[in-house]
Amino acid sequence: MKGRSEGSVPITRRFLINRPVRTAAGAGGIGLALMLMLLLAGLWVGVQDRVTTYDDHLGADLVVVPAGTRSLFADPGVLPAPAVDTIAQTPGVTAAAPLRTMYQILELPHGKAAIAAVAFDPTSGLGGPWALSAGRAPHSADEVAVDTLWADQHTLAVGDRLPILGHPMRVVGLTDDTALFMTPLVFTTTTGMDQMLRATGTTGAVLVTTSDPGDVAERLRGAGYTVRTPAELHQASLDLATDIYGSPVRLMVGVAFAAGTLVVALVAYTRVTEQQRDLGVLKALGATPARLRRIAVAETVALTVLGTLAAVVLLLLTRELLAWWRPAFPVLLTAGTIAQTAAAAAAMALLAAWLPAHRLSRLDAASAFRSGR
Amino acid sequence: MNTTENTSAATAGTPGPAAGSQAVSAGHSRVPVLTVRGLTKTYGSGDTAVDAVRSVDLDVASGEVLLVMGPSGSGKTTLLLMLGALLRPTAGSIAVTGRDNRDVDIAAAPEKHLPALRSHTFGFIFQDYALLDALTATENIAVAANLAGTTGSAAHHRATELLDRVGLEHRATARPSQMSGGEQQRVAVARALSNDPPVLLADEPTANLDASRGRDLARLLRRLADEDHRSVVIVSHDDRLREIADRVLWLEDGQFRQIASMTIDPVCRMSVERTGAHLEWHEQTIWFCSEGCKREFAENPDSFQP
Repeated sequence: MKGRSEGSVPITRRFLINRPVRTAAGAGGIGLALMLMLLLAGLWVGVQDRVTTYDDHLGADLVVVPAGTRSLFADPGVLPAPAVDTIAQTPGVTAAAPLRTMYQILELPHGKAAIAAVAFDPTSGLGGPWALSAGRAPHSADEVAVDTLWADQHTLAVGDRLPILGHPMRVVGLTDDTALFMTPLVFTTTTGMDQMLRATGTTGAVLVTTSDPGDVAERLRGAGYTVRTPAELHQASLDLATDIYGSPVRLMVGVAFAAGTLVVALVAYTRVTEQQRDLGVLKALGATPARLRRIAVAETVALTVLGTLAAVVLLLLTRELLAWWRPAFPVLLTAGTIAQTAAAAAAMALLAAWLPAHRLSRLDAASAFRSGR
Repeated sequence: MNTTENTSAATAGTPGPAAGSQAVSAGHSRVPVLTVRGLTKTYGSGDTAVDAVRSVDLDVASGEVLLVMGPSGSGKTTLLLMLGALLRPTAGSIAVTGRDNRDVDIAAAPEKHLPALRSHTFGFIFQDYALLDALTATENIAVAANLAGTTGSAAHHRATELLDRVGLEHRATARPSQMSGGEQQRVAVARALSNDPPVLLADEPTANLDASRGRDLARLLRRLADEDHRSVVIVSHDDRLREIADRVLWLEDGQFRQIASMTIDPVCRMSVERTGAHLEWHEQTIWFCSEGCKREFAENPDSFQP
């Protein structure tokens, strides 16, 4: 007997079409499981995008940080304020500006809220907000610009007062693209931050612009400073996020994969069980176990492909829903994420098809004679 | 065609060692297509061993219609499954001559050769038709042709031709759920013919059909045996099939018995031995399969024809 010959009756397709509701339900179940995986993967990409957004918009070529500092927000430290002038005078440096960052918990009318505060020098144009939806960047010591999404969440508008460390700061601008994963960015001036912290005479870091980053970095290191590039800070933020969230996210993706595999297996197994009579008839008519296994595997793979398409549609819907409900949690889809999920779906399908295919190997052809008795 | 009583009287099989050869010689001079010797199927082992079929010998000739009857649990279906390479016998041999005139012993054939043997040598007709609900009438036939190696338009053409032969060309695109029982069984017959098998095996083919459709199907099976020189082995309780059978064999407790000693229970129309429940009526001895049938007859004998 030939194997799957060209021009054979398309049994798998007929099986899928014969019960469209069940096929749709099966594909929908697989789609939900895959969508969960895609959602988690998309959220993780979104988290990575968010936690590095400030590093990507520093506007500096180099950053001088306190010794041992890898990340601007996670490793608070201080440099003496005169270091800014010293660094500015280093050959090759175009401009140098102070920068201070810190996490802070605010007491707001609706409860407590965590923010990532950034103090920058408004005269330098370095380290400040890069996109505004309303108002302007802060100029004076009592002014702040806050993330637009966070402002909406806390019903803040330009002109409102925002108490930080007992100082009633005035909101002068709403910034875009400034929601970190768990905290929004709140921009103020270094003067304002110094007053809030009563920490004049120090700075957190120094932003440096230069046309020759390599040589300047060498010179600064030679002068005893610790120098980071924005790329290094970007990577450090990613590493930090991975350290904090990576394990639980990987665990969730793993659980979603296991659940997805089980769903696919259950759908495949149920279908094969339902079709046992038909498959028994085919075996009685002369179908080889290999051919029956191919039918089971092809059906499982087809359902998984349909499920993958359903997952993409469900994800788009969920993403829109999430963007409306929790805009600070972006779900970003990359080609890599989709490729990984497709590979996972293929792995699921093959794993899940094994059980029914194995069962078909032991299918009793004589069952066709006994059915209906 | 021989009459049932005469034929069966001359051809009842085992335990007589020469029963098989008698079967062929009694009205059929053609070469046997199926030659069964010492066929035994035992389920279980030790104290719990049950012989479903016991050392059966049987010859079935080309163009012959053989009807195997017997009570439920007598081993009829087990015998049919073994003949069709769907069940391994415990002992014995089943030699079948294919269309290429080559003999194969199904009982000794390796497991991996059985699917090809089934798809090339046998046509199966099931009690509940066993059509695939997802496929149309044409596709149900074509899929069996596919399994036998005929694909594409050749398979489709063959299916159309066979539908025409069973008088269902107008139902080509109908699905089983859209057809009557009689139509479904005719599609099943067409499917059984798709690989042009030398042997048709039918398990209770008329069980789900009314009297008229059952008769039609019986005639169709007879025609297939006569026109194509196909051997047809039917396992059934249906007494109406005696009309088309060349031979009737009675299987009981896994062995063939002399059917000459059998008679018909007038209530349930089953063949019964001339032992057990009986009564005298109009100077005749009427035999029954059970006390229940006897009682039913005694209450209103005029409503039954002995």
